Amino acid sequence: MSATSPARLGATTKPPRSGGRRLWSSDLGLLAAAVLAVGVNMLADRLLPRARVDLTQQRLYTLSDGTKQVLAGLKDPITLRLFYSRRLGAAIPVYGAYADRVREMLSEYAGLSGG
Amino acid sequence: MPSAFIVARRELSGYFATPVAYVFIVIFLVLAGALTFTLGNFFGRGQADLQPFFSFIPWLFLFLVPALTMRLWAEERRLGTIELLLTLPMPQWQAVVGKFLAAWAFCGIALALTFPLWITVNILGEPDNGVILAGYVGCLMVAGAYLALGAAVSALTKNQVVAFVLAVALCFVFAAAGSPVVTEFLTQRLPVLAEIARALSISDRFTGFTRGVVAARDIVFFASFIGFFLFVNAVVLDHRKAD
Repeated sequence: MSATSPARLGATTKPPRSGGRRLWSSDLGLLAAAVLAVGVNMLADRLLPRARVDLTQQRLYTLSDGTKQVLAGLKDPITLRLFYSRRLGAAIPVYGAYADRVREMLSEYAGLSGG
Repeated sequence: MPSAFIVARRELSGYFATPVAYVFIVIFLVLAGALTFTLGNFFGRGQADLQPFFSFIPWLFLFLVPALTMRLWAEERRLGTIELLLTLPMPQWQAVVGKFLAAWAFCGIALALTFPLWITVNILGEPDNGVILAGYVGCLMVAGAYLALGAAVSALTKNQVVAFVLAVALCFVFAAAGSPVVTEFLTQRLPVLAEIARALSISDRFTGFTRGVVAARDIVFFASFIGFFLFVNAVVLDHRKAD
């Protein structure tokens, strides 16, 4: 049984006097993990803003076929301007989340209309 | 990773061998039901959905989940059984993942037992069951995030009370980060921080689920949150093996 073995699991390769170095290296590991976690989230925000599953029965958050048809058949360039106060969005998070949604929808419009 | 599952199965049966599981589930169900029907104004709203129930979940879990996680490592440390667990012939991270999975499955069971609410709302009206499903997925995500954080804190200390209080405080930071009180305060001082706070906020991410939208970036957020704190847990455990 492992109870007779003198070495503890996970510490078998490290000599006992390198405690300071191990502390330093695992601090570095934690930092790397934090950076990785933040990076993955920023990447997901950038790359997958519209990747989602709409589970509402009426597809409330998905563009309808009619909208898609209209967007595909646009002849003249159309400019849509979104006015949004970053300050207000940060102060009242509900507005911020709503602005995010509108922005996503607009970029979806832009993608479907080919520009 | 079969040994993580073995640890998880043993832990899960451990919950039900002690009163912990029953007390937790009963208190959770009573509070969830009471809050939904009284403060949530379930009947008065006249809408067939579980919005009042979901709105209380992050705050209910804020206290109940740390109560679950406080003993995870602190008790093992105090009783000395941690030595046995960590000398078993398996990698340490499997013990970490196993304990987390067991606690998560337990939260899943507690959430599943709120099914009478779902039945009630289906009898009274015609709710959008897709939204309810997404809401439950969100609840599970919130529970997972709190659990990972609480387990990491529990590994830090021998004292369960310390683990509980610290876990509640840290979970509260992430739950409240997106609330208007915090963000309003931050916009007046440092507007950049307010945006970061909103991005880090568990409750803010959770509202997406309660609307019925399961967004990839919210899933990525919760997955990375859980992964990061499980890693912290493993590192802390590796460090403080001897105490």
